[in-house]
Parts: sequence; structure tokens; C-alpha cells
Amino acid sequence: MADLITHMATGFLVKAVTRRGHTATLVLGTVLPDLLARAPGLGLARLREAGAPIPEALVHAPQIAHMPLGMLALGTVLALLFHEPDRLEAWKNLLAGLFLHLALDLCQDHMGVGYMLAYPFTTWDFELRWLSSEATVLWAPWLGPLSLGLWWWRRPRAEAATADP
Amino acid sequence: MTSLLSNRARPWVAAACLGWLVLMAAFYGHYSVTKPVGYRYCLDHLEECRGRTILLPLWRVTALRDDGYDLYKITGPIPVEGDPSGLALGDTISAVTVFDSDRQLLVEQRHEVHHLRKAKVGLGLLGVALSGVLVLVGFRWREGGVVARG
Repeated sequence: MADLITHMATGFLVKAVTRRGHTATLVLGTVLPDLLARAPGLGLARLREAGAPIPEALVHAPQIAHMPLGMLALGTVLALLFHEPDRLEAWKNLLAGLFLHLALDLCQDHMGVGYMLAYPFTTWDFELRWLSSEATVLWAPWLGPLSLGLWWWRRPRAEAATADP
Repeated sequence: MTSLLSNRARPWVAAACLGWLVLMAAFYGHYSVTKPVGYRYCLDHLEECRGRTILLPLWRVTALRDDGYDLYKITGPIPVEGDPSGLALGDTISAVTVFDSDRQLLVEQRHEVHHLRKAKVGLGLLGVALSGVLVLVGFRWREGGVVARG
């Protein structure tokens, strides 16, 4: 996984280019796979290491939030929390963020142990091996503020300012 | 897609998605502890694993010896024979190893130390905090549903 700041930055960059609404929804999508898969997994692993009676399978189970078919279900469930007229747009932005996250992670190199892209139908895994797993740590300090600044500069202004009286 | 996201379909779609997530999680949890790869599997299948390459990405060093080190990630510790110079307890490393069936340990072919791992964890914690701010600033709850701001 790349670091969360770089993941958020990719979301802001996409919105700086597209200049469409639902910025927070898309950016939230870019961090959800790590928040829901990696963070609980790491926490449970630490507890288990400390002696808590946590089954090993439970430590691995949250990783499905980092797999395409898990992301699809997760994005759909979250989109259903929005009001009906806005739901389709929220769904599209959540999925865009979730899959943007996966696309960035796929660029990394974990010595050939890649990401399962079609689980549970196959355990085949894949990664592009273009970046070391810590490469984005050096990007985050400048890419984070830069992307936020670009998005702020390019964000759609209030419609009221240009609307006809 | 619009009809699947309608209010009428919402309970059924939500139930189907949550059911799918629970099933996937159960299957993946079971698969992870029974998959036919890794050190633990090889201990039970010595002949099948003789000379097999085992990849250990992002494991933590938990012990250092003159002729090797121990690694831990969810399970372990796993004994690895190799050059421990330059390693410190708590380091995160990735290693390419070969399973030695006779001695029942892993022999390192090469390893890479992840020096920026702690910085990455720090950025992760900052990201969690900023995600909380994002949720508070970017959304609000109104009349039984989420509304995105901007």
C-alpha cells in the first residue's frame, strides 16, 4: 500500500482536473481500502502478538476491503447512505476513489507478492513492480499540499455567483 | 443501476452487499490460514517444499543471531539463515528465501530493509486523522441520509 497522504492527493488531483463535485466522496474512497482493510488487520495483528486470543483468520478477513469485488460491495453499501437523488453520483465517486487507490497500489513492488484482483474466483495476484513500497513516502510531503492547492484553485465556484438573477 | 440504488431496492441491495462482504471475509480468512504456500505449510509438507522459494514481504525482525534472524508477521517467529549485518530489532524487511527441508528453516537469498517504514506509518496515522477531518467537513447527516458538501 502507498501511504494515505499520497492516496488522498491522487483524489484531489483528479478533482482538480475534472472540476466536478463530490470531492470529499472521491477522496474518502481513496483512503477507505486502507482504513477498513489494513488498519484493522494491523491492529488485530498487534493484539494477537500481545497474546489476545484472536483467531488468525480474523486478522486476515478485513483484507477483502482491498479487493475489487469487496470494494464494489463496500462502495455500494456506502452510497446507499446518501439521499436517492444524489446516490448514483456518490456511488460513482466512491468507486472511482476505491479503484484509484488500487491502481496506485498496483504500481508497487512487494517482491512479486501482488494484489488479488479477482478473489474469490481465483487467487491469482498481480502487481506492476514500478515503485518500491516506500517510494510515495518521499512524494507525500510535497504532493499532499500541492494537490490540495491545485484543487482549491481549480474548484468550481459557487453557482450563485454566476447564476442569472 | 439507478433502479438498484433506488429507495425501494435499498434494503435488498444493502443486505446482498453486506452478505457478500461477510462471505468473502469468511472465505478469505479461511484461505489465508490454509493456503499451500509459506513456511508453516512447508513444515507439514517437507518433501513437496524441498528447495521452494518463499517470499516474505514486509516482515518484522524479532531476533538476531550470528547466522541469521527471526521474522514475524501475524504468525511466527520464522527462523531465517542469512547475513544479519545491518539489521536491527524492529526493522521491517522483505526477504527472498529458500526452504531447507532437512533443517526445516529458510535460507536467505537476499533481503531489503525498509528504512522508511516508520515514516510511512507516521503518514498513515496523519492520513487517518485527516480522513476524520474530511468526513466532518465534507459530509453532513440530514433527514435520514448523508449529504456531500461541495
